[in-house]
Amino acid sequence: MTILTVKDLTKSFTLHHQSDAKIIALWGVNFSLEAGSCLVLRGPSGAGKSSLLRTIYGNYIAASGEIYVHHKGERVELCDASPRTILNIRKNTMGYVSQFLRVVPRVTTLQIVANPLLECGIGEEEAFEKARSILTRLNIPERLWMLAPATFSGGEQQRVNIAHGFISDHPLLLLDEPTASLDEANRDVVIEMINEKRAQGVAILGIFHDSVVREAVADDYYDLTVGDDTSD
Amino acid sequence: MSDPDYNFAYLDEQTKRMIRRSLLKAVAIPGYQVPFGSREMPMPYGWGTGGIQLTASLIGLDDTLKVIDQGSDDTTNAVSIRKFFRRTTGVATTEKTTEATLIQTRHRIPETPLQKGQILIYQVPIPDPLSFLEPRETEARKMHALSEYGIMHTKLYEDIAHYGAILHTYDYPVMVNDRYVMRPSPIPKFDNPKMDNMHALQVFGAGREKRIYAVPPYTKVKSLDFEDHPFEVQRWENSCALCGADNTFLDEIVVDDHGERLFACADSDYCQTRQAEQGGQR
Amino acid sequence: MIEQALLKVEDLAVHYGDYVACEQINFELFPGEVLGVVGESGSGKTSLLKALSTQLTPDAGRVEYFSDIKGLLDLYELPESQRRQLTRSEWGVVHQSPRDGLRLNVSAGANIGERLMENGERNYGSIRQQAETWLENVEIDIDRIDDMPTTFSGGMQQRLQIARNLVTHPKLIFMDEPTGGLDVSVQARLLDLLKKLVSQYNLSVIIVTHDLAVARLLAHRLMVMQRGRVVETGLTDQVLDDPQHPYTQLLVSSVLQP
Repeated sequence: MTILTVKDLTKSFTLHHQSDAKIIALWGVNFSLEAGSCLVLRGPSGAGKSSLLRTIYGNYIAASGEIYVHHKGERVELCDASPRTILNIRKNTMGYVSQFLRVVPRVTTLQIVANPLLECGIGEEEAFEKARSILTRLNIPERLWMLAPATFSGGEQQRVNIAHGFISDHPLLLLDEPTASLDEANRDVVIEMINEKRAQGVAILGIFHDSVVREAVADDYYDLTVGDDTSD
Repeated sequence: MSDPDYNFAYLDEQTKRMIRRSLLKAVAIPGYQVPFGSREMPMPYGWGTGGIQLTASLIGLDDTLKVIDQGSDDTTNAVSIRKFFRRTTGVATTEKTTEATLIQTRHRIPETPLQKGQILIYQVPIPDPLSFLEPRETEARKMHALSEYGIMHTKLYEDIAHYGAILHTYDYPVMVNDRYVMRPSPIPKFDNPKMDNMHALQVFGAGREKRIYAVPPYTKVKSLDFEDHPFEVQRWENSCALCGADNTFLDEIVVDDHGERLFACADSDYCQTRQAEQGGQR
Repeated sequence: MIEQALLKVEDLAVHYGDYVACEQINFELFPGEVLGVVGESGSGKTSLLKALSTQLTPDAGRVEYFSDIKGLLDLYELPESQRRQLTRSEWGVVHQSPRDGLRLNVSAGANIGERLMENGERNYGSIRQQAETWLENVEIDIDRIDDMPTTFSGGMQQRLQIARNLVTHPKLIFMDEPTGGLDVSVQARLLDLLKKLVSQYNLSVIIVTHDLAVARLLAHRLMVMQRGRVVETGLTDQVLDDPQHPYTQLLVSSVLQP
C-alpha cells in the first residue's frame, strides 16, 4: 500500500527583507513510499533534504506540487490541507524526528515522551509504562527521567527526541538525522528500532548521514542535488 | 400649630410631588433604587436627611408621627426630628407604635408588629448592597438590572471561611420579591424576619446618596444565606431586666460607675407598654 | 466528518473614532484548538480579543458561538444578560494583570467560588470543596485557600486567575499576554500548566501574545496582525519557520535568541 506520494513538488523561499531574494530549495520532486519500506534521501548539504521533510510535514509551505498521505483510510492532499487537517495527520499518521528537541522548559523527560500517547487519549498508566520502556531501551538512565532534558548532553537529548518520535504507532515516520550525535551502541539501538518499525509496516522517509545506518535500513534511495532538476 | 414661616413639612410642594413620584416608582418595583433629586435639609447628612424628605412628602394633617432612633423615642436624633415636624407641620406625634400612622426609624423595626395602613420610613446611609464589592457604579447598576448577585455571596462566604459563621449582624442583605438584592439599612439582622410579608409599607431614603427604595406590604423579603449555613438571628441568654421579655432585641446598658450592667429592650415603647401592663395586672 | 466550529468570526472591525484598531477579521476556532494572535504593540490584537470576549462592542461584523447547551448563538444579537451569562459560565478571560482578573479584596477561595455563586451555587461546603480541587489543579497549596491574592506571587496570581475561570468548566478561554511580566522560570511552569489543562479539558483558547516563543509552545495555529489586519495565518510552526508575509518575516527575524 502506498503511504506517501510526492508529485512535482517545488519549494522556494522569498526573502522580502533581503532584496526579495528568491531561493529555490526543491525542484520537481517525485516519488512514492510503500508501507513497510524505508526511502533514504541523499544529496550534498544544501540539496534540500531537510526542506523536503519539513515540506511534507507541513512545516514549510510548498510552492507547487502535491503531497498525498494515506490517513485513516483516505488519501489526503497536504499542500491544500487546512492547518487542522495537518495537525490531525501529525497526531495520528505522520511522525517527525528532527535533530533538535523543542519542548516546554521544565517538563520532565518521562512526561515529554509519554505526551504523544496521552494526547491520543491513551491512559496515563499505559502511556508512562511505554515511555519507561522506550527510555530504558535507548539507555537513558532512570535518574534522568524525572528531570527536564534542557541540561542533558546532545546525545541524550537526541535519544529523548527519538523516544518521543517513536513511541506512537504512526504509519509514516520522517527522520532527520536521528542518529547524528549518538555513539555506536545507541546508534545500533536506533537501527534496530527503525527496522522493527519497518517490519510493522511503517513507511519511513529518512536522512541519515551515517552510511552504516543508511545501509542497515534503506530499501531504496532518492537523490537530491543543489538547485537542480532532480528526477529519478 | 405649624410655624407659618415654613411651607407645610418644610419642603416646597414641587419637591414633595417629585419625591412622591419617585416613591410610587419605588413601590411599583420592590427593592429597586430610584434616584431622586435629594434636597439640602437644615441638618447634616447622616442625621437622616433621606428619611426626613420621605416623611415630609408623605405626611398629612391627619397623620400621627412616631420617630425612633435605635428603637428609642427619646434619643437626640429622634427628639430633634419629632420637634422638626411638629414645628413645620403641627401634626400629632406619639411614642406609641400602635397609634402612629408614620414611623420614621433609624436602625430598628419596632417590636410591636406593624399594621395595615402604617408606613415605616427608614433612614439609609448607604443604599447599594453592591458598593464596596463592585467599585464601578455603572457595572453595579448593570448587575442589579440583570439580577447578577453572585458576588453578594462571596462576602458571606468570606465570613464563614474566616470565622466559621456569617458574622454580619446588621445591614444584612436581603432579596426582595425574588428580584432585587437590597440593603435594609443598618437594622440588626434580628429585625430582618419582620420585613418579610409585613402588613405595613416600608420605604427607604438615602439623602446623601439620593436614592429611594421601597418594600410594599405583603412582599417576600428573604435574607441571603447558604443551604448549609442558613440565616439565623441573634439570641440573648438574658431577658429584659425591665419588662422580662425574652424575644426582643436587647441593649446592654452600664448602670453605675462599677461597671454593673443590665440588658433591656432597645424598643422603649414596647418595653414601657409591657411594664405598664404588668403593673396594671399586679 | 464535519466538525462544528466553536467560534466563527466574520468581518469583525473595531474603530476608535477614525482610527481603525482592527478590521476584516475572519476566522473559525474549533473545539480543543489554541489560536495564537501575534503582532507588535498597536497591531490591534488586544482590541480584537476584547471584541471577541464581549469586553468591547465591535463596530462591524459577526461573532457566532456554538453552545453545547443553547446551540448556535450570534453573540452581538443576544440580549446582554445572556451574553454576560455565557461569559461567566461557558467562557473565561485571563487578563495580563491579575488586578483586572481577580478580586483582590476577597480570599483565593472566594475568588474561585465567585463564578459558582454567580451561577446559582448556594452550598458553602460544595463551593469550598470545588475551590480546593481547583487550587490543587493549578498547583497552589490548599492551605492558602483563605489568604488574600495580594499575598500571592505574580505566578500564583495568574494560576489563581486560571482556576477562577476554569471552575465552571468553560469551553473557550481568552488570554491576553498571560505570561507577560513573569520571570522566565515562573513563565515555564505556567506554560506547562496551561498546556496540560488545554488538553485535559479540551479547551479552545485564543491567546494574544507578542512573545513568539510562548506562541510556539502553546498555539496550534497563529494569526499574525499588522496595523489592524491579519496578514498571515497558518500552523504555528509553519508561520514561524516559513513565514510568507514580509511583516511576519521581519517579526520572526527580529527575535533575540538566548
